[in-house]
Amino acid sequence: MLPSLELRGISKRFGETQALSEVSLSILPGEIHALLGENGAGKSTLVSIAAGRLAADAGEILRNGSPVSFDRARDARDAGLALVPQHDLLIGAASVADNLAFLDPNAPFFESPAARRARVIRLAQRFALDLGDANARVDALPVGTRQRIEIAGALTGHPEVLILDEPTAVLSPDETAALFASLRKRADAGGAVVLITHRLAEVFAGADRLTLLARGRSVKTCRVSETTPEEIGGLLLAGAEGETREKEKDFDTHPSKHAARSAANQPLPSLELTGFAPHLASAVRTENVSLSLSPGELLVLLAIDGNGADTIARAIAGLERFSGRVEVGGVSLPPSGDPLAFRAAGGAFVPADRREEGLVASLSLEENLALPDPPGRVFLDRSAMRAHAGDLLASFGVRAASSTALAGSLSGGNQQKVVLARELSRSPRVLVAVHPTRGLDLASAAAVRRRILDVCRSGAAALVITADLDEAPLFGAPLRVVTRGRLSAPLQPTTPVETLGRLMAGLAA
Amino acid sequence: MSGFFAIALLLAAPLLLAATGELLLERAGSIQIGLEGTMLIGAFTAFAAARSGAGPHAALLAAACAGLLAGAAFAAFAVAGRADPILVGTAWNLVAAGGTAFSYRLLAGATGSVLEVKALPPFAFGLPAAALAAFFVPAVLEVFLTRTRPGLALVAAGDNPLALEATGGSVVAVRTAASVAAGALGALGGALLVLTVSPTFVEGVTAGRGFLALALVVFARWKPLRLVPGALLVGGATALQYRLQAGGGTGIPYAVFLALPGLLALFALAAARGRGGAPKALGTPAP
Repeated sequence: MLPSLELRGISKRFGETQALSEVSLSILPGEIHALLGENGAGKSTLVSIAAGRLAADAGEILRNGSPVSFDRARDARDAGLALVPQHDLLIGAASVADNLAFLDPNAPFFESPAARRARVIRLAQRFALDLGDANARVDALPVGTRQRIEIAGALTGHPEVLILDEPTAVLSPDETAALFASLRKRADAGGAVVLITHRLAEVFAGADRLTLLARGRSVKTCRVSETTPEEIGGLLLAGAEGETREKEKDFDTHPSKHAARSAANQPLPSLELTGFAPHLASAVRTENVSLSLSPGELLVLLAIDGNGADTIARAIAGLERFSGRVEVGGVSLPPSGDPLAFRAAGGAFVPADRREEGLVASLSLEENLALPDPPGRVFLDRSAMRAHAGDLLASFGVRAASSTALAGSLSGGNQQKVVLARELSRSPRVLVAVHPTRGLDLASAAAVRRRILDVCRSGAAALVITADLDEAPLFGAPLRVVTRGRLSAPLQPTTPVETLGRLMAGLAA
Repeated sequence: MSGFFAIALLLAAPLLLAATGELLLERAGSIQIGLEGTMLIGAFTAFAAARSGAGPHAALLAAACAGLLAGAAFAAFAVAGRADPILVGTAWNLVAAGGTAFSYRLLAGATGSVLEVKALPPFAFGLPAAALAAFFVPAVLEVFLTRTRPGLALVAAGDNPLALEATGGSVVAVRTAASVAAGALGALGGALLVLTVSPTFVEGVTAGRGFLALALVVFARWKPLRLVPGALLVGGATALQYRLQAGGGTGIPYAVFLALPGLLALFALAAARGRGGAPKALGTPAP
């Protein structure tokens, strides 16, 4: 059987970083092929080359056995390949309906707004994806919804080879199940699917074969039935070895002038919300929330994107207006929203969208890391910035050529590590983190959770928002599920996953 | 008062055409601040064609063709060549001002006498058909942007060029097409000045209308239909200015009246604060 898509000896170099060295991958018709590997292993680079969005330095691409060359994305699309990128490529200024019309290669020349809205409803039903309000502007939507729009858009073209770069990181459990059912149907009809994911459970439940990448090389390709999650998990950790694990041992919180404020023996609650509700016209209405976190306490809010959990986090961090009271370490924050007041009171914030809000892509890593409080009186103290960045990059295992590399040049997972490094290095009194492990590989995600727990142990209160059902209990902290702006009663981390899933989906437990 | 309103419409029409073209180009992600120059080229081409015996409609057509070429030339530098559009546009204004003045002298000699051309005949309300048609062009653009496939591609080119490339489109092709259309509309606007308002050409006949059209696009927040009230406002202010000047005896220097439309535009812009609605990739080079 000829492979639908074959990559042979693909190499790619970015500056000083060898992203891929002679990687080969062959995708058979009718299979779901999982592509695994730690952050920065080259998975996204490989599929970008396969989809004609990036040119390889060396190697060849074969489609049904014959060599092809993709000069641009259109060539790959014409050859029956579709890629759902990790970060969506949508028209932010246009509506959901317009974006899906834009992604539909068979959309007619003239199309009324009503017909475009009808397409949204049709696709939402056919692929069991919640695509939101057809008239909503895409740049106002949460990343999860945007990802679902991109997936629906890719599926409309009926590609023979469908490549999905971490599609399930932002999907709800029900949606993930529906997506796999739809991928299986596609594969049974002879289509080929390539899936990048960090969730081994999904791979072993839904994929036929897998390929493991580590540091730009393919390490293993086999049928899923010939291996075990333990073996693959071990190989994945081995791939990240020396990057994260070893450096973690000598991790030492960067000494900072904020440290004095994070003393654990304070009588006051670190974070207290009283009758709190964010004001955001376009978002889900949030009911009044009252909660209190003592120093060292951790609370996990579990919610599917678009249920208001992220808005709660943003309002606490001073990025949205709110009603009611927010106190950080006894200091009341202005309801008009003031991120500086939040930070001055000892708050740290990890936003959901690291590329839009977490980092300045066109600044270097050392500049990004110094942003909250750059050293130097008039001129920047470059050597202090470099030293600070060097420590943080090493201790968080960020894979980058140097601390002067641009933040935009890093892989998604590594960017997330940079944001975390910056926020956690401030020794915050209160940490609000939205999807802190989204898009991270297993080892990095575990390291991030450990660091959040460490910050709590040193006296900070933390509010973590996650959409990942499997991850939420791993913090070992109380959970509250947010559905349509309403918080559930506190749940123990031992609550069965099925119960949590039903709560998340808005069903009674 | 109906006379005043007709003059306001007549003065608004060239602005509206030029601004609609500019809005189209900016929604595609490029920007031509040399719109004043394009209008001058259109005005001179219409004049030259009319002087060499063409009827007013043929002169209008000649101006449109010159505008197409002008748009293609701009795109060659600023879109395909990826030169900074602000630099290209600035040079464009200077070259067009000098070039049309020079060509005018070649044509008219240094006589200093005013060379009249035949104006467009009135169609309804004392206005020529072309001026009335100008008021429908923003609606056509609105339909194009919101209901057609190429319209979506154009919005993508201005908002997220990578999204367009990812679906197999070409940002360079879309922006070039937009620039060609914008050139034609800008030149038609300039031609309307010569063929309606004052049926002759003088150096710098556009008198800053290209810059007003640029400001109108911001005022309209990049929404085509909102250009109409903006253009009427400026057209009305210009008409008022003529009336006040003609009234005389106010003791106010005429330069104050001349500045009225510009001041009005400035205040209107200040009132409509911020740059909300601007295409995200405005002025960025194609990927």
